[in-house]
Amino acid sequence: MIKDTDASGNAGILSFIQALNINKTNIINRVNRIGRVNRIDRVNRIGRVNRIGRVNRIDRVNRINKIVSSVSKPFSRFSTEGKIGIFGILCIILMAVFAPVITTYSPQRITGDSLEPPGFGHILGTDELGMDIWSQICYGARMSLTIGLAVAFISGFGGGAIGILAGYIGGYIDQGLMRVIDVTMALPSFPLLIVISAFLGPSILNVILILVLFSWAKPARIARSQTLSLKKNSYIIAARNYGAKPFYLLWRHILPEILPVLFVLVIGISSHAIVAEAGLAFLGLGDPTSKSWGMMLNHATGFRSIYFTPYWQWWLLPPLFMLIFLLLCLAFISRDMERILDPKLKIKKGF
Amino acid sequence: MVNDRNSFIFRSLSTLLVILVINFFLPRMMPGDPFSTTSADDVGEEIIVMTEEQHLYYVNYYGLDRPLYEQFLSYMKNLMTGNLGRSIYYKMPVSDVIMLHLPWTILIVVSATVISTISGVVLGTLSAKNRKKGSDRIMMTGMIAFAEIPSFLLGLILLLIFSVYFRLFPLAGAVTPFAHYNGPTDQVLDILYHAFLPVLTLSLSQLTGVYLLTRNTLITVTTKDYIRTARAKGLGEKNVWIRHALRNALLPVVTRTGFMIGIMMGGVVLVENVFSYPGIGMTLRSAVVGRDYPLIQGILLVIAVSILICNLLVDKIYGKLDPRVVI
Amino acid sequence: MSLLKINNLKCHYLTDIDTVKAVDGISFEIEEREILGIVGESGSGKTTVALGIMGLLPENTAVSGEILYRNEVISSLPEPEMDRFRWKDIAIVFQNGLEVMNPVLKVGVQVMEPMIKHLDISPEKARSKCADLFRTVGLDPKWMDSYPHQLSGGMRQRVLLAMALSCDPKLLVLDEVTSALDAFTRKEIRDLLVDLQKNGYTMLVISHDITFVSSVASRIAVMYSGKVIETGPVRDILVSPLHPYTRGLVHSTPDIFVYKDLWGIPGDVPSGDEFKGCPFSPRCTQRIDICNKTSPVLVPAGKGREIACHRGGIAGLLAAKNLNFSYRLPDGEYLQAVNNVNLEVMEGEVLAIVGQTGSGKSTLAHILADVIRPECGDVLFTGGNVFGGNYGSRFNGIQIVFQDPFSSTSNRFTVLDAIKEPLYINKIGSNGDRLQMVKSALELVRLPSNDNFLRKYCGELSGGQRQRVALARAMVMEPKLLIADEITSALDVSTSANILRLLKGLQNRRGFAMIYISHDLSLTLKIADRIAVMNSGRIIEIGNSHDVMLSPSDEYTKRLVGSRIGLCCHTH
Repeated sequence: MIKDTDASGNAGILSFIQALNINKTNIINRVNRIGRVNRIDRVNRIGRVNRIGRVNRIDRVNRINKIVSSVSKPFSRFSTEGKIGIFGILCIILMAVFAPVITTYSPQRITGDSLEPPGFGHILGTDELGMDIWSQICYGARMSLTIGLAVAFISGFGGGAIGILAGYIGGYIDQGLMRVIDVTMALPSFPLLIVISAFLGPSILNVILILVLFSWAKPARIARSQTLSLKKNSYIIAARNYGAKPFYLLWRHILPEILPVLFVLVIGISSHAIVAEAGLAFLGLGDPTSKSWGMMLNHATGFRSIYFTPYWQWWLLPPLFMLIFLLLCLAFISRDMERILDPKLKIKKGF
Repeated sequence: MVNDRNSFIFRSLSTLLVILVINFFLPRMMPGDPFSTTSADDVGEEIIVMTEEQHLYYVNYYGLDRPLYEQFLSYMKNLMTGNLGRSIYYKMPVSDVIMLHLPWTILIVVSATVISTISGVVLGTLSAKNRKKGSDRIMMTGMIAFAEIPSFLLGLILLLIFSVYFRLFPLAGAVTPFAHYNGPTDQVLDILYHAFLPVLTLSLSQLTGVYLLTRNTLITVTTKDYIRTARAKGLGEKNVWIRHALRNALLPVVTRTGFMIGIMMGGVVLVENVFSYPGIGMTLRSAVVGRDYPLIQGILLVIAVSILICNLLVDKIYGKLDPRVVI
Repeated sequence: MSLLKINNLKCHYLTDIDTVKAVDGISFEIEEREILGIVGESGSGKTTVALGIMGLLPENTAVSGEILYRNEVISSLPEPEMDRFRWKDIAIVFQNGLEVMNPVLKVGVQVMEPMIKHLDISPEKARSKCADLFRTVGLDPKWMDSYPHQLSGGMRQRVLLAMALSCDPKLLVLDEVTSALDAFTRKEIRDLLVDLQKNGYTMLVISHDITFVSSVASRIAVMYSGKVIETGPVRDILVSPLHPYTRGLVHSTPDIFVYKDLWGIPGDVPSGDEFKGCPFSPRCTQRIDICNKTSPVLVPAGKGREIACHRGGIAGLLAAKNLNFSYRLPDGEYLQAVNNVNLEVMEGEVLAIVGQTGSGKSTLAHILADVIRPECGDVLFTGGNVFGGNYGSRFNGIQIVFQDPFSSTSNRFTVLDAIKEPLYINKIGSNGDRLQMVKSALELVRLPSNDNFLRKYCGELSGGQRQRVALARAMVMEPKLLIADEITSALDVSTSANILRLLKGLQNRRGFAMIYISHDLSLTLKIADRIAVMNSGRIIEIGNSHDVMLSPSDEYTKRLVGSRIGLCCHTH
């Protein structure tokens, strides 16, 4: 399944990643540009969509920088599936970012007759209310990506940070944290998710919050166990002997080791988060104003005679396929990353 | 090993405790009186209007007019006696509502567990035996691709293909409504007919996990020395594989099967809704949408308890199977 | 008809990267009721042989050659056919490892398994037979119902033995069965095996522990790097090994000759499959050109022994025949210093010549070094005549170090000059080369090689240092035979000890042969392979040092041995 291919076809993508590397710190300046779109800027636009996000963007940017540099080196060793995955994700990202450009209608407004089949004017037809499905798909991508990435980054790096700190400090804090992690991971997450979101109300913020609450435990645990094993290395003791402060040790020694693992985890978490959000929306518990793919599924399956009419073909299938496609891309990337990074570090799976 | 078990019991109990606490606190965290806000946001939802009498009942049941610790105590007392309250929507005791729907969920979850375990083990064993051949790599790729698709999306696809397009299977329900049966066999067949797709979906979602686990454990086991010893004794390939290899390799699979119920709980809620299968998954959804708090809490509790029971069972069984574990 | 016969067996492990030739063409036979031992270092291929016999080699092994059991070929049989022979005819006892038994089944069940399958008996009979087996190997039958992790290592090994005996195999293969055990258990297992042999079991004992193997087996085959390099009866191999490797192995084993010091074999096993020569040649002290080019085959060497060596085993270096020498005393009498002496020195061995003062040892040494000529007889060194052969003036010749340190080096010569002398006399090398060679020689004898020291006069040095300088001077010519004539008798104890260790270390590393002359018995025991006892010009006893010292046959030797004085913690 996994084959190594030569690097010849990767020049373009490689230079793109390298370009990403260089201009990360300019994101703040570029955020408000409307003009000619720079390749780098495109990726940073997600930052704009993440206006809702709580994390310091510069901090995240630096982290992205680090990740990208630790990742771009073995990039050419991605297998075919990995390349497909990356390509697919990029397409979806582009779709989300350029939604206003590639769609003719707004997803929120009624722009056609109800349940029009795909045709000229409405590429994928319209739904029950007459809203363009293609634009719903494009704008819906934003939702899935936002939630997925937001949850993944916050819980991945937040959880990772907590795990590192706990592992480094040790003692009661560490023990206590382990208990908390154990219990968190043992909870049946989806039913609780449903219940809590039901009680707290269906806003995007709540959804992100709850998903983070359930996802931070795994990266924390893995980061912790890695930290513990790294702490035993002689070079840490030597550095400490030379008078190194804890921050130095964390920043210089521990973080670079753990970052690659966390990166793989982050992809996994974003997968889960996207599924969870879609599931919630499907059940009718998502933000009704947002046009996420799960919401589209919810509307479509809620339509009384959806299965007895041909409407499902253009109303139900697109969001379904988009979701599956996105998830498969993420999965390919994740497996490939694991494969690439694995011989270099022994990924300890928790405990 | 003893340590492991102690922390395991601790984990199970604290999970239960956390759920109980969440159960307890959630409705109380809503601003204002939870029972006066019953607005519906979704298109097509029913608006539930409570009579004054019902309202009073719930205030009483939840003890919203009493201090917190008293509320918790009465909550626990109610739980012990099996009083889970009264469902707002169904206007029946919650325990009754649950008992009405739980058997369907149990049916599909247990069937899916059994099917996925058996097929996963068989396929995993075959895969381990034939691991050098090309056909195995195709199988592995296919399996792994399957695993990445979440269960409810898979269910939707199956529904669309088999129920909508080919019209082979029903679109909803556990039994054909208003059906007349000519005998128990007919009834059983009908049930199977309706349960087929949900069970298939759930099985497929778990299959890869079991398959990979069996395959990888088996591959590790076959490199062990005692397999070589068994071969040296001239016991024959079949004996070596089953008595020595599988017997050891299946230990983690048994553990996983036990935990599978817990893992499936997340998926079953969605899958039931995809197929409109009247188990507690569907009930939970309507309860959530309709803000039927007692019912929600009841179902959550049932889910948590069943996971706990499964974990304990797994623990017991594993102790019997692996003599290295101190019982 | 032999029970087991192996013909040119080759087992090559094929991996993606290269081919590991674990077994590279070995042949041997085992007769009924015989115990054959296979000895070798780790990596020599012995376990592969065991697995090959049982048909348990991994899939990626290329097997060629034949394994014949009672004249039936079993090496190329498919699995189900092989099962017919397994356990009933040939059984193997593995080394007791962590997971050599199934951890989830009771040990009794595992012992009974093959019985039920092969012997077709009822479970009750199997159980009682199992109990008997347990008792035979020294275990209480109550342990039948326990699990492997509940038993100690020694107990597990016994269970494995019981398991192997369960179907009364004709051939029992034991693979490193005592490696992980303590001394007591090892002895008990050994006694068990000897008992079993009395009951008619044929065994193949494989181990790296030559002591254990020699205590059980009647014949030994020595394996090195996938080939058999020597076979023969146990005693012969231990007492007079033919192959340099076997000799090194014997020297490295503390239990065999308890008084001798331990000396390992320098160098490592060669890797890579490009090398076509004798696999031992990189470490061999007596290699010649052909050793690098082709691999020697195993050929008979008389008296039931076989050897695989281009030189036919440890080659003879020096052969002296019919030596006679007498001194003319002032009063006209002749003193027969050397009386009809025959002597042989093998490559790389240490021969000690022991005797009282006046026994003629030094005279003999001087004759051998071509310092004086005998009245009759001759001495051959690597085929050439020593007398007139000028072996002292070339590399790889004979060198001698004399007794008196103060006269073995000139007071007025500097260290540099003294050591450089032979090079200077024979016009070997340029000045720069000579300096280099002197420095390396000094390093060999653990003296400083800086300019300061080189400029010192020999007169300024102590006795021990001067003796080392003399040794360095001898070493600079890279001799194949070094004659050390009582070199430590004029030195104090501590210095003697140091010089002796140095000498033996050099000898082990460089592989030259040494004739060590001394009157000090205890010291010679430490380093000598063979001892020759001289009295009044005659060699009255010569043989393996252990035998000569501990069980002397000649009266004089007995007296010599018995005349050791001094306190000791036990009586001899």
